Amino acid sequence: MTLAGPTTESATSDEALADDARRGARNAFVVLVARYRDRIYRLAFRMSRNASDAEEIAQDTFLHAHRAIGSFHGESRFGTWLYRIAVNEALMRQRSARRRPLESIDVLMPRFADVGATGGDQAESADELVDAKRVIRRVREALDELDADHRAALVLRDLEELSAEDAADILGISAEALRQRAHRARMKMRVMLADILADRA
Amino acid sequence: MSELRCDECPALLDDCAAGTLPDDARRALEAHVASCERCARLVHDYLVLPALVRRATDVQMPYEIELRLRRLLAGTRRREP
Repeated sequence: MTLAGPTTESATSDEALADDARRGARNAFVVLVARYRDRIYRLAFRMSRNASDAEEIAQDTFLHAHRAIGSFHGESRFGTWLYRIAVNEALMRQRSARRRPLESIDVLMPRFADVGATGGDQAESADELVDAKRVIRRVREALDELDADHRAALVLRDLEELSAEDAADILGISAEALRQRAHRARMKMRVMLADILADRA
Repeated sequence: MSELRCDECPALLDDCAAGTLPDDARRALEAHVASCERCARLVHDYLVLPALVRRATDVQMPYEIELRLRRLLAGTRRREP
């Protein structure tokens, strides 16, 4: 994924909409919310591993961005600016609050079953559904075991598919440091999920 | 690019996963993993892991949260630059 340019709704660029929003066009910000709501919510969920926290992080991100849109002058892409706000909200919350327990994975099941646990085929049997649930839980537990900095690097680089430079810019570190954190995170995940990865070899 | 050693592979994996590895480095990596089972497993896991985690965390903002956000935004004033 890139953070450049429009992805839905119209050909108007994010930056043009942000410019309109800065000049007071409320509807322009509503369009930006529609473009980014799922990406920001998914980012918040991946950073927090918890739907309740993800809801609060996503909401606070858009409210913060709306209040601060006057200070956005296009020095970075709008998406990068918004991601930076969301990542900071998530990291602040993680550093100041007790971790909430992982919750039911049922919220994820319909979408996960749609694509199948092994990559494309629809889950066809009760056994496959049970296996898909087991894989989701194991993956989420492994993600939960990473510290906040390594998880943030993994989420931005591998899950949100940002360039190393964009991800590093959002986290305020060098691209090389970002690559190292993402690599360590992948290696830890690889150890924790060795049996699941072996099944897919 | 000359023949790769095992300890040189990890440094290439980030670009390999992102599809930004230069052609000569990609060919060297492919040649190495063709004859090294251990590094072949590493490359496989490196490529499979992101898709696995992505699928296990693929959520969308619930509609009621979007509605609440829109209501909050409608009642929020923004800071002046």
